[in-house]
Amino acid sequence: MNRLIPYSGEVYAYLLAGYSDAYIALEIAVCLAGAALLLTGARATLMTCRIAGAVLAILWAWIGVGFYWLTYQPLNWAGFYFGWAALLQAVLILVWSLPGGRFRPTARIAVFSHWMGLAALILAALMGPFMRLLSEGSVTAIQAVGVTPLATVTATLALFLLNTTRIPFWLLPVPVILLVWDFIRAQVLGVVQDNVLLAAAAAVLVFLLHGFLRFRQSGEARDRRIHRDGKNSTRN
Amino acid sequence: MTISVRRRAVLAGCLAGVTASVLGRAVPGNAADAKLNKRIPATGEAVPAIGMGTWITFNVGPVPALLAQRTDVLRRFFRHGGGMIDSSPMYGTAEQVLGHGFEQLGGTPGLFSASKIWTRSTEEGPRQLSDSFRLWGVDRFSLMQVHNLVNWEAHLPMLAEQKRIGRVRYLGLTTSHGSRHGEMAQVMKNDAVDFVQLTYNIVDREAEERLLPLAADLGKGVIANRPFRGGGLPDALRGKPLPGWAPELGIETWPHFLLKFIISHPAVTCAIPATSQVGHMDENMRAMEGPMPDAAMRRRMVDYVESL
Repeated sequence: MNRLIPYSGEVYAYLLAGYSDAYIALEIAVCLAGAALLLTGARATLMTCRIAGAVLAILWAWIGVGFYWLTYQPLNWAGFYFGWAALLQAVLILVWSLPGGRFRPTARIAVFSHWMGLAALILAALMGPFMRLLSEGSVTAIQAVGVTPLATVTATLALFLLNTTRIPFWLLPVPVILLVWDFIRAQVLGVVQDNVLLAAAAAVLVFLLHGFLRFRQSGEARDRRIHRDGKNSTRN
Repeated sequence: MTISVRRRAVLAGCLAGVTASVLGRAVPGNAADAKLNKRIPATGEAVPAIGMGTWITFNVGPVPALLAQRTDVLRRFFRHGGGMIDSSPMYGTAEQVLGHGFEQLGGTPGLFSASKIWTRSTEEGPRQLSDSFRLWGVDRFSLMQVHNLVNWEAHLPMLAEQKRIGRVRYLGLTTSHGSRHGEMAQVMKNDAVDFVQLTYNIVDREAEERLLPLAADLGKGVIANRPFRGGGLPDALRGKPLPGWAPELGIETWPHFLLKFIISHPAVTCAIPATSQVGHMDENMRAMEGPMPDAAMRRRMVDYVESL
């Protein structure tokens, strides 16, 4: 695994510390926008849902260009490919969210999976400020939502879990690939705080996949029922 | 640039010279450089047996604090009479950081510059070479290698042309982690190849079976990469006792032990440990001093490490 990470933990800390600090205004704006989106929730209009989807897509595009291509790629050639992956995710989010305003997350549904999503989202949003407080001036790898990939992937998956419309399966591969990469990186470099976010993202992913599975099973059950009813009606 | 050489070290250096003469490849040194130099088979040119790798350690980006630290490491390397520095476009910003360091030092006495071409694209090869010249800030490379044998069919003729016009002095091929030894054995028969770079350390000794004897037969220089297994070997051996006979070889630490094992192999021209610490650089370079183990002692070294 070491061959995939051609830099040290120290260098990674310098990279993220400098990058996160440079875009702290973006981080604050993203957190405020996210809070407003969740509070508006299911009452949001088609237009606000479309805007929210577009903003999420722009953040992913920024992760691709600003982080992976302009910042990370000089350290690691793989950044070039991750940049393209993030841009692809931006396009997929646009394709999915714009037509029907399907990006409609809410914090107002009191089921366990939603609480899980909400917890992961808050964790992703607070990780940056928390690490800044904890680092006390030392150089620390700070993950910031909307600014660095891991926090953004975690927040995106959490928002998917909180969404009131069904999330298509094809929105998951890119975040999962980036999570796997971040898992490898975190283990090689021993970045403890990243493991916290990774655990939260993994838990959210489990709930999302469980949701897919349940939806598929209920769909199959419905199909079987329709098929059976159809047969019965033919006999009659 | 002067390093104090203790009397014992001078005597040990003379002993090393005798041992090295028996091995047939080392250069007998005088008191001023009681460090092991080895001859490049293609030309007979001498290079210090310990060089420096840059994988991970010099990929630090544009961070001023880290750039200054790496410049200190380079300064110490040259102060110890270091020669070979090996890098690659694959190592992120390492070539850029080297260039920055050279500029800060204002001179690179004895530099043996070694970089690589690392691309599947035939067209990209010359561009990458041109980038390396720019990033290192050199007019001529001592050695240019095809990294991990990637598209060597196209890059080797291109580099041979660069050698012909005098922009590159030696050509080489690299592999690491013990991979593709079969292919390396075939390609290194090419007359244009002066050097091979491969993984060789006291634990990873696959090269002893085929590539090292072949390199000796064909008259190719050998660069040993991953001498510490990416730092894993000194970590694993830390706290374990050195053998009682270690002082006979002037060995004071495990890195000395590990490096002496490598550079005492008759076919090895240079080992390239990487470090970001000035203290480690001092330690690495001291492995060139003192007597070198002969074949029987090398066997003993392997047995001892395996017994731990």
